[in-house]
Amino acid sequence: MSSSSSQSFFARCTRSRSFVVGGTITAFLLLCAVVSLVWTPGEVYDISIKNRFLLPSAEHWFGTDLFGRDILSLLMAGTQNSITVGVVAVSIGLFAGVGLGLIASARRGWTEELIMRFSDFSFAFPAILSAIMITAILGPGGVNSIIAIGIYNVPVFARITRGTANAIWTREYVMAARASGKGKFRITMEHVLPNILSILIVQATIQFAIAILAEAALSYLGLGTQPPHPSWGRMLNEAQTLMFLQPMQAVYPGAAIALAVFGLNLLGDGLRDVLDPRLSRKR
Amino acid sequence: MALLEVKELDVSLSTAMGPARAVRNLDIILEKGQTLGIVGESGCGKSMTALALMGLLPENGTTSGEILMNGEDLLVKSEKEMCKIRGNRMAMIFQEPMTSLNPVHTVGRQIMEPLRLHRGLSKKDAFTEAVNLMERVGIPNPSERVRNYPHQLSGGQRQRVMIAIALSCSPDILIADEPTTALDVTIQDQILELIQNLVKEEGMSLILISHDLGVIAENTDKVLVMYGGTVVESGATDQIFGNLTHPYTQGLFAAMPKLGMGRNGRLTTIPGTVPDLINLPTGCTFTDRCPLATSECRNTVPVAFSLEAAHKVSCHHLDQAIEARGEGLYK
Amino acid sequence: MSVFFAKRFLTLLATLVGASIVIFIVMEILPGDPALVILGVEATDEAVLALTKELGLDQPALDRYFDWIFGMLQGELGNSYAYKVPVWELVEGALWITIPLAIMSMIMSVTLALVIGLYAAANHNKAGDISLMGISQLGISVPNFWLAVLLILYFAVELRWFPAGGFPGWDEGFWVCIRALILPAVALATVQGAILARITRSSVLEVFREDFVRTARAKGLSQRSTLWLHVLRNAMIPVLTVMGLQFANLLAGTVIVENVFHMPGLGSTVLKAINNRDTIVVENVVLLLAAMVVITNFVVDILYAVIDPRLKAHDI
Repeated sequence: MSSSSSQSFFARCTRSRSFVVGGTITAFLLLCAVVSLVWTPGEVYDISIKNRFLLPSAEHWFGTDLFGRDILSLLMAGTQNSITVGVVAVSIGLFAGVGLGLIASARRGWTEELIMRFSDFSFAFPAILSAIMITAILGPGGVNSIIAIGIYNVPVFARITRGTANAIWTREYVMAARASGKGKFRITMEHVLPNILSILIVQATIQFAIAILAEAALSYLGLGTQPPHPSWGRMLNEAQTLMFLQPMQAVYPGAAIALAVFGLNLLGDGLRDVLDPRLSRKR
Repeated sequence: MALLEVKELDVSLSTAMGPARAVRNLDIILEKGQTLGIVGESGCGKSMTALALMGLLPENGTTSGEILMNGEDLLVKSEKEMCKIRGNRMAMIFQEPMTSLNPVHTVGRQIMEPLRLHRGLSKKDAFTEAVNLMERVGIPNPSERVRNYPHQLSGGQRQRVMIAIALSCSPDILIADEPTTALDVTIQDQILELIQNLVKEEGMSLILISHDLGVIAENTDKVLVMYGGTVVESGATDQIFGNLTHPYTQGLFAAMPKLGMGRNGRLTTIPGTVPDLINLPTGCTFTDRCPLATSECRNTVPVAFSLEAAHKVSCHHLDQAIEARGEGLYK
Repeated sequence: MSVFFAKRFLTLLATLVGASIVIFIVMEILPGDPALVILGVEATDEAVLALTKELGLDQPALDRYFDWIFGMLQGELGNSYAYKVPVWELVEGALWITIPLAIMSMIMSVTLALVIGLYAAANHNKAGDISLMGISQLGISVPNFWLAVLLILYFAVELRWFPAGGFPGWDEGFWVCIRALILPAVALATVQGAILARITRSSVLEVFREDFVRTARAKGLSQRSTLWLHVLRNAMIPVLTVMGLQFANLLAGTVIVENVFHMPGLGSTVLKAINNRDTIVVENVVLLLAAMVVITNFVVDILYAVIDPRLKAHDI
């Protein structure tokens, strides 16, 4: 990025409404996660049956659940879980997927064919289904569900990386670099990767949101995060059995998931506006 | 009454940086059967003029002034009324035959569309007529070609299809916006000849837009030379090419390759670039690039002087410009 | 056309074969011995060995793979390890729930998407467009299983318009079943429809910028006729792609949403089978789901060629 465009970077950030709203929501969730590490308004792990199903009060803003835990505290601690899942799953997808995509694009030929057929092929398996199968192999649990979601992210990133990188490889400045005798690895690092970075960042934000959704779904099915670890999907699962008695218990965790996904999707849209004005105009 | 009379037409496009004044104070008089050329560099307002005439400006465009066709102002007409005029009484051919046809419909269907819309032909009659039209515009094997998709035709053939579409309802006015720019040089002349013949046969009026002085000189009766959204010189084609006057017109002509100039002959260029339509200079728009420019040019807009008959030039330094015709203004 | 068709069909077959291999391998490495799970931890070694032999699990993996495939080609899916009934019996009942559910929500989502997407595009940057896109952004963010819970709470518990869960079976009457499917279908369709609406809108807007749209307008077609006659068909190409991909998501979504509504569809069948280590059921159901996805994409490819004549030309 040239200096002239970085001057207007902040201007563009504040001009994009999606970026401001999405960024604020995401920052708020991050704050919740960090605060919950050191302090929560109530107990997250302590079970006290006599305090179960308390109505919202000054002490328990959202009331308590069937184990007498403070729901607000659980929601705050659940943020940690969702953010961890998102970060790890997206990182797995980014490292493996972008690597494969870059190799496919640099090597072309049968390497590309092989990698792309494999990723095409993995799209035949619906996301949740493959996650269910993977957790079935590895056994239910928080870590395993993260790995399952991460594996699902690999072909997603491989595909988008190859597509955008191939376009870069045909550009004149890459031709010039090749003509000057630079190797494929060097060109990839110096020219290709920096030029597709903005698209990858946007995609990473979107995959982050999808990862949160997928983890919630797995935990909801009982295949993800296990008790007593606080997780939004898990909370929803526990609340569902009591849905007709305590409906609000099912409302809070879902709203938290929706808020997080909404914020991240908006942030992704906003980043697209900010990082690549050409792309945003098309939308 | 003239067939088309444009009075003080202004077109402006609202942009993030403010309004861009694409066309200013434009007058046109076009009689039945006349051909008018509009010439200038890209970004001088030629295409915007054409789109304004058709009432097809982009969403951010606004117009003022009058566009009188047979005395009726098109600018006050409703969208519904304009739809009855477009493609029917006034038709247009575009620059890019590659992208101007819908890729998912056969060319026949695309030619039939205005026939059915304006002439109310039945499907069968429209089909027969489409084949006839394709034959008229010189497409070989029209009864086969009519079922082809645009990607199966060459660039020249596609432009012929565009001409067939424009011709279909025998319009009074045909607007051709750079009809040959995207085509191979060898085909350009064929297409221009076709347009020329059809215009004569049908007794249509033609507005031919081009950046190419040669094309304009050979195909038109009258010329408007546009620069920065305004007309700087206008008149009969013979008058203008016989007596190149405005410094800009002289520049355009000097920049044109001429036969017999030899390998060592050098093309002259007009220094600088076309003005920014958002921040137009206050005086003459050509000031920054004009070799004759003085402070007067910078501050006041020149009025049009009549040289002879209808030959009008907008320049503060007419005498100097006329004097310079001999040895040329540009080195 | 026939070359194009044949090529796509070969790809379809290759993908299915590949999918069957992957599923088989995955089920091979799946920990837990089916015989042990069926008999319980206290079973004797002899009993486990005998059952293993009875189920044919002592055969080499390659043999079992070919047995599975050839059996399937003859319509023989084998018997469930856990329930001792033919797999097809388990699957058939589930299909009668999952397929109508998927079709219903697909219809809902496509209708929703086209109406919203076209309306928003036609009113580009006006209040209607902006608010609809805001709502669709929200729609994308809502987890479908949570939406399902909310729908139950409001429409089943509060208003009592629809049953809160379960499935009566088609013998009980058509409309009773449709009523039971409406809430889960809405839960599934909302998210998919919101995504598709955004794609439809941007695709229509993109096509509106094409030169041939200007040609159509220059012919005298109104904005509306241009949309229907020239823009829509071109704009459908990316929309179709996403629809094809979404069908996969929809099938996956049924797994979860069926769970919320306690419906014995394919989703609950596969979840139960995984817990029971009923590998033969899992293999067949997953392959069935994958086949549905692959066949949908095949149909989408064929539709492409119908919509866009240029594609056929490239392939021949």
